[in-house]
Amino acid sequence: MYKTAKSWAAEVESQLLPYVDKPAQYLGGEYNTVEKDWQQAAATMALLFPDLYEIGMSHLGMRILYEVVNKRPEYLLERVFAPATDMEKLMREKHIPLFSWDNYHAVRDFDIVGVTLQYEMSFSNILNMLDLAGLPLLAADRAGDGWQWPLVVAGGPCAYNPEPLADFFDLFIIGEGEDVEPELLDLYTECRRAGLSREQFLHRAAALPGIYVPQLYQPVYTEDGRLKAMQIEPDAPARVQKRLVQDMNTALFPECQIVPFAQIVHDRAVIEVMRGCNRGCRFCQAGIIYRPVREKSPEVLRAQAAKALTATGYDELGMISLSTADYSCVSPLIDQLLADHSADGVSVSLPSLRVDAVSVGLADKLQTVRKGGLTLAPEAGTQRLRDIINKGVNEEDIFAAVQAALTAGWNTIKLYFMAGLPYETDDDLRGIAQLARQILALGRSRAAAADMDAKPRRPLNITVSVAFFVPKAHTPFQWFGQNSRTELQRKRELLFAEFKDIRGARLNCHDIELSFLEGVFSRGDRRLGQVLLAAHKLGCKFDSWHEHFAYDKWLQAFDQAGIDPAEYAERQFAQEDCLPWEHIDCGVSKKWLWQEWEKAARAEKTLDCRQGPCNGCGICPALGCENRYCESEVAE
Amino acid sequence: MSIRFVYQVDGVLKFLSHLDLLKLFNRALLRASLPVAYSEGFNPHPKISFGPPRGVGQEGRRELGDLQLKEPLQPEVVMQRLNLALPKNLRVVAAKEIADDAPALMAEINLAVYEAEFILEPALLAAVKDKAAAFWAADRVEILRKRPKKRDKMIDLRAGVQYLEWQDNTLCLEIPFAETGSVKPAEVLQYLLPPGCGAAYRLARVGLFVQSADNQRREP
Repeated sequence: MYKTAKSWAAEVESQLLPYVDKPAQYLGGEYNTVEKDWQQAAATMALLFPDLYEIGMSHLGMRILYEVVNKRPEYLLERVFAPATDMEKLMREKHIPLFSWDNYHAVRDFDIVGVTLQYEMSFSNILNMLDLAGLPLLAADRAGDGWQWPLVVAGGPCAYNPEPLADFFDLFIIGEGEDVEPELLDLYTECRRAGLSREQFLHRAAALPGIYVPQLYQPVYTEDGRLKAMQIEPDAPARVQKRLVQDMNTALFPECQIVPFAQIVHDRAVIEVMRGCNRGCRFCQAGIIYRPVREKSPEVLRAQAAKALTATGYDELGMISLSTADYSCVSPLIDQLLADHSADGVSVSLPSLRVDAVSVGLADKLQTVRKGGLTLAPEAGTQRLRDIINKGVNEEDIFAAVQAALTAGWNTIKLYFMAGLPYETDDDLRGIAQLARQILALGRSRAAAADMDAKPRRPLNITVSVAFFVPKAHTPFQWFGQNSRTELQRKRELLFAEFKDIRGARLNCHDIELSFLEGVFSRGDRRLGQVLLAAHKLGCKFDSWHEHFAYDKWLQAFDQAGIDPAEYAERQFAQEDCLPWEHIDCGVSKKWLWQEWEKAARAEKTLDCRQGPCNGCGICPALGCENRYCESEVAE
Repeated sequence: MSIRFVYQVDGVLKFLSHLDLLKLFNRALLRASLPVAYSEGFNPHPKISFGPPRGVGQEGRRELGDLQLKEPLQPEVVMQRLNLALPKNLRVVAAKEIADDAPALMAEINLAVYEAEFILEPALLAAVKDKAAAFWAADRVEILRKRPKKRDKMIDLRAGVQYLEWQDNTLCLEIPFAETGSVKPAEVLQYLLPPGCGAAYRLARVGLFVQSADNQRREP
């Protein structure tokens, strides 16, 4: 709106691209991108993904929002990714501000800058990108000059605890963005046309369902520094409830998917088979915040798959969701998709597998030629702990899955576990090693059997990957204080000692320091904004890229802000404590989450409401929605 | 049947690597739903092949590619359908039928012609022209070529250049493909430029040719 249409294309082409590594990652205009007239747009929006292009373009949400906004003729949305460090250095030297990939418009020239929040350890990249864009980092510093600066907004899973970022954003979108984003643009356009001030607009926006305007909510702390309550302006809602798409079948889906020039991490056409998962694993945030389950009908998916494949020319189709094997019609749908497309050389893939023989069977059906690695996630080493975390998997499932994988010809299996879970003992950690031994024994007996029909077979190899548990907001484990770094270090050593003598198994553990910082921010409050600012000034960025992670700088940043990070990460919340994300309503009741936390202490399981009766998590009455399952038979 | 096509690539797409471009064409073939012939085997791939790879950052004015089809189609139709499936800054400008047993582009092409348009102040341009004249007059011009993960290699730039000529601020360079490895046009241009100028030129590969021993040339 009323801003310069300058494109930095000439500068980018002549002063940057000839000198950077992998220039193809900075090229917009990929096939299926939308051409829009900047001058004609009623409002313009830049969508920032705070990581490299290869990561950001692999993210379906980015593609959905690109489609949703650009579908509206009066709005324009362009994509922005993090420049790699060599590119950033050149940009700063040549005074070229952060630009959009689509037409190289400066980010600061857009009306709205939207940031997607996928992961806590991308926060430093966000500040770095806003800085590279030439924007004042603090929302308060952008407020003084009316509409001179763009509105800076954010959404995505980390918006469910927006407090550590509250100082930097004008508003947050809570929940699924498909419907809210255009509503926000409508309101923006209307307010600007009516000559409203930035502050007037923010008050209006706060009344929009799903919009959280942090400046209208001020935290009040007790004398000993604990959060007491939020002081809320009268015209702002006491709790901001998430938004969701009720019917996935009619929801807009990008069929004409952008085809990147450069290789990206997930380089394939995708269909989203369903949204939500109600397995109820107690550590999993996605399993709570994306409730309820909304499956698409197989007919809709078949049509979307066909359209996506012809529109992109990809020869691989990914079936995306939190747990695709749980999709009611998964097997007939796979058969149908293979029948439709395998003659054209198209392969179909699943993002992850459930731990059971059926899922492995599905994977086998898809992998007709290559037998790469197979990944299973039992998450914990003993049945007791798997029950505590409500991972609905037992030992028989695991062995059956491995057996099925061996029969199908896999000889590399990757297993995911967590360490530092609530109520975990050293026996649970030894259980991981024990499970590894048992799986390898299965592989050996299989190999011995194969020897008899004289077929040489490569021995089974397993990789065991252990992540350190990070408690997340809006989960039954949100009250749990993360294990200390020394405790995690001890557990790490115990695991390595256990695995030392296991031949055929390779153990790797996640970075303790990184998991610790993630733990600080995942349950952090608004005071952490000072830490982020300090860390940014010290040069922290790309923290999730091992070669860039600078733990000592982070510690220095905490020190400068006068904050003890361990107090945040290790803090055990009490039932009556006011949680920093208390005013954000994901639809699942706090009461139910607490019940689940108590059931965890008793190692008591809760069944998926797909199989059993309603557990009373509260999502359906809160949002007037219900689980939607597709018909179990597919029309021929 | 086999089709030989001529394409142009410019704008930011000049920054695509040869591999990126290959992948792009493979997908465009599927989008265009052309009856492309596939190779046999476990991992069938479309039968499409190209001339010698172009350096990243160079525009291509007359690049060449060969395509095999399962069923006959007018070359113009192939061109039209392919163009609908290509992103901007990349287009097919000509197509013709060739014999199925025509020699492969990679095997036949042995000469590339480049144009480098210098974007420099007159004084600097004059210096470049002087250096180019000296370069042309010299018997040998050696430079050290930096190679990733390998030792630097001494190469004779002069021997790698068959002809050069100025048209205003544009330098036309003819560089043959030698079996022992050919000179890169950017190496010549960087040699001619004073240090610190960066890539103060717009470089395009304008033609690919088959040159016979008696210096007759033709486009394959």
